[in-house]
Amino acid sequence: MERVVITGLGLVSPLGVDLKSSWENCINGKSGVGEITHFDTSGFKIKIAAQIPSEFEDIVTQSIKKRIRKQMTRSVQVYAVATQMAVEDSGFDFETGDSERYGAAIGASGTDYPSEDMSNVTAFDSGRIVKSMSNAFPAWTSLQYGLTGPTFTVSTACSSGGYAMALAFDQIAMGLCDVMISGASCCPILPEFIAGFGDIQAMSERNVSPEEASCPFDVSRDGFVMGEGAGVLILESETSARNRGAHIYAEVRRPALLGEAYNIVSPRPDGVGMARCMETALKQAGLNTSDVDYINAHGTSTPLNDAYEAKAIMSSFGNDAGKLAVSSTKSVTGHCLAAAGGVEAVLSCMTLETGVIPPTMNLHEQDPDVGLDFVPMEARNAKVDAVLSNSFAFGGHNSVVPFIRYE
Amino acid sequence: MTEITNAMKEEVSSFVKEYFADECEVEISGINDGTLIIEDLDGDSLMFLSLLEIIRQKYDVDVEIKTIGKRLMTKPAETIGDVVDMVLLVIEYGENIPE
Repeated sequence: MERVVITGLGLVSPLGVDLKSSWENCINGKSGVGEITHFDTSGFKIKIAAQIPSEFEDIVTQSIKKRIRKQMTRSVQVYAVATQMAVEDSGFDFETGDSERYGAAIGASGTDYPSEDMSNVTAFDSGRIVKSMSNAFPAWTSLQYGLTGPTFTVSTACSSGGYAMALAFDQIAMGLCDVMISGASCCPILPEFIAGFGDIQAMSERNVSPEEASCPFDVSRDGFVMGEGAGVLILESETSARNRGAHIYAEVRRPALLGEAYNIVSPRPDGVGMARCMETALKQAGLNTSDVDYINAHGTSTPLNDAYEAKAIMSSFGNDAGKLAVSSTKSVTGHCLAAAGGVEAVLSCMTLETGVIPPTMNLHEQDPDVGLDFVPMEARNAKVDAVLSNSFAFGGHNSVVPFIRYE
Repeated sequence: MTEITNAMKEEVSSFVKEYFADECEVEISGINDGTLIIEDLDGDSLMFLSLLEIIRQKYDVDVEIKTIGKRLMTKPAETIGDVVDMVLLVIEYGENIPE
């Protein structure tokens, strides 16, 4: 089996329009949450979200040709820009070598094509079909970089990024590909999604204090804050990366993918399914509980997820649970839904790269029976050798991605 | 049937070149009748459909896209000059484009 390493990172998030600014704001605890400006929220009970900074509009205009841009939804544009950043960061030249050994596996719930535009059938739009194709993400990438290996979209709601990386990992580990572009994208801050998640009581209604609304693991949490973004990683075989002297951020071990078969929106009580997924990830990665230094938690700020995830961590890690750091970067990025696994995988790699553990912001009082170190309110310097990136989705699709310091 | 004047030919030629220059974000001075749409401009077939929709409305032409598609199957429009000729045929003949 080929070892798989990460050689490039790209990130567009509510914290910044590139990796550097996103990471710095993340570890400095600067929130990306504010009032929704993408649409008029009059009549909506939820009026806050974590939007990508407005300068993204200039970046996308400079990065993607008008003709192509017009055929992309915002979600695909954000992904395309993050991909360009990741490819540039990796230094990999897709014009050399065997293009059949280069592919892309991207997580997405769809293209987030606004239903208002989609349903306006009286206006001529030659891009309507292309904009609605959920395979648009890898399709545009294959065109841009000439990838003729496997390119596909993976859709498992909030764990789409983890699932995509697992399938990308397999292609390289089995020796079928040398490089896979992977990650996830989602831009769901649209009236239909805000209303839909609001209707099922999943979202925070703290409109008066947007920056404090996402408070994972805090006793006062009342739901998630919607975010948007894309996190893209270049997965490469160790052989290829070493041959070209590439910078290696981390090694990725095989992610655990498991289903809960319990409920379409609720996790299995007490986090039993989540625990099973983390235990499987440890086993597949060849790690002991004491080897893991940090968990980038799913930590959505919903009452159920955070309670169950905390229990799952305590159950899976036993006596080592109190020794590891756990934080939720959703406290500042909001919940980027299908993009969450991609965004948080990038942040997990940056934790290994820099030795800085991002804080859980807005955590003032944690549940009394939870004895975990959630890195509250302030980033922490630490020697980090192994990280788990958790993603748990509606539909019971769980993924845990292990990242290891490469040596 | 609409009579095509020299002035109309020039107008259509300029319009088509401006359209492709704008859509493909290239200088109009770099576009001539021999410019290849896919190879030189990185364009695609959907651009042609959008252009035809604009032409249909601009010149009030009664023609089905399907009719134009049939014609293109036998005589593909690969260059800007091909597109200009096709647009002029559409304006001149509408639904009765000669095969």
